[in-house]
Amino acid sequence: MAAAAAEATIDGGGKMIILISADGKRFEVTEAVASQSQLISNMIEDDCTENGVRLPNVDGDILTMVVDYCNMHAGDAAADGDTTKASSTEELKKFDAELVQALENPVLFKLILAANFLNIKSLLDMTCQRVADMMSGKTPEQMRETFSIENDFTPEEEAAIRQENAWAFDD
Amino acid sequence: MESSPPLHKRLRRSSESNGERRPPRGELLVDEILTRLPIAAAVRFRAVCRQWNAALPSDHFILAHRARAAAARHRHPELLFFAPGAAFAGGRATSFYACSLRDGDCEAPPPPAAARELLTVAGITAAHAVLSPTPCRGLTLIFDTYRSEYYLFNLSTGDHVALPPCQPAAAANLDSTLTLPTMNPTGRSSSPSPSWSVRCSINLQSLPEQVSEELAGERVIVPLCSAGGGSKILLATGGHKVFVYDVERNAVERVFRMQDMVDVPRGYLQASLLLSVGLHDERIADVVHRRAGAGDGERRLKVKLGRRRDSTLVKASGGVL
Repeated sequence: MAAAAAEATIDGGGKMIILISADGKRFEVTEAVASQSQLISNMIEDDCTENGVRLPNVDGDILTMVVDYCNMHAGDAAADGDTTKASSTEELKKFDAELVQALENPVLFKLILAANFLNIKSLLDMTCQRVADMMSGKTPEQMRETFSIENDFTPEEEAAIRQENAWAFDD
Repeated sequence: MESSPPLHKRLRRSSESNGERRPPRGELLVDEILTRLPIAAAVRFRAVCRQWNAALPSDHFILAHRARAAAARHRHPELLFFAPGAAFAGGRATSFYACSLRDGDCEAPPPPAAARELLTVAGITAAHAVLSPTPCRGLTLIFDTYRSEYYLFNLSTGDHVALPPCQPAAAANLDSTLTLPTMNPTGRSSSPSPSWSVRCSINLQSLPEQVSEELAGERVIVPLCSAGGGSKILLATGGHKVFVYDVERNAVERVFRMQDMVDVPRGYLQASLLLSVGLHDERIADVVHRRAGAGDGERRLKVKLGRRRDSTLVKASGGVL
């Protein structure tokens, strides 16, 4: 038991676990950090993280971001309601904003899939809100173009939808 | 042995990770992303493709969208207000605006959020309009006191219906038959009526002088809703302001003033009738229209929708095309 690398401890005494990305990159994080993922939290509860957790559909690049996010937010859940952390709340907001602002769509979508798969609600909320914000001012044409969606309506069908909901189209 | 998450978890999402430029599909797209859209976008995107046109008008989506919006509104209530608008359609007009109270929080007053114009209605003047302070199922009742007409409006979509006129018979019998909902005297005039009780009173003297004076100068103060888990109350005033009253701390803070949002004409610094401020509830809610019977042409107002109605959720740097 003590021999397992995954159980090395650091100053806080938190147990460490290893996350392994699809391309084999290994990330060592504390249980507190990792358990922001509901998926991993369940696995910790079931005692099946001893030899590392392989995440076959999360790339190393994406997992790096997820781990950064979780490291940054680790104190967050524990200190919920603690108003003395007001200044770091500001820092967190800034960190979050910078994280999603900088991402290109394909990376953002992968991050959403990872957040969904790992079941990290706050990260899923933030990334999905970002996509919704990007979408909200667009026309249907711009949506199709930006997100490679094929227009499979007949011209008549499309015209009918537009006419029925005219208020949402004129600007 | 390295552990992996259960197999079904892996399989369920794996097919979705292939598309490069495409957003996630299926439940994830509909429930997590599209429910966060402002309603104009959620309706407009029905025209994107067949799949979206099946998902977006569905009851499932509309309920999920409503639930998410309600949760957001609970944190940040949206205010509605109206002011004289630029004339159009050959007459005076009233413009309706909405703005979000980013933080219903006394300790850190929010920076004045930008308001967005919902719509402008011709034929009703702001001085003659009365608004139901809180909407019901996304619909707001507007009373044109000049013509004595009631309209039920979805202020987000401009959809509206004129309510049937009041029956003249009721007015004729006003003295004898109309009972006003006043309290029945119990005969024991010394004891206060048992049906009324003070739930909350604000001690003006204990407030900072500036707020206290501001509140004391208001002729009309109407509670709009509670916020912050019930510990705070939003108070709208006839002077186009909204205050947050913190029940526990007995503190009051002004969080909204119409003049900060739009140009208010000099003669309109006080609402002439009750209030010009209420709450807004943006919903995909249809107004049910009456069937036009013989000689019953439906009264419709001329409505011009505000521009960029769904743009306030886009953050400053978010306008990616």
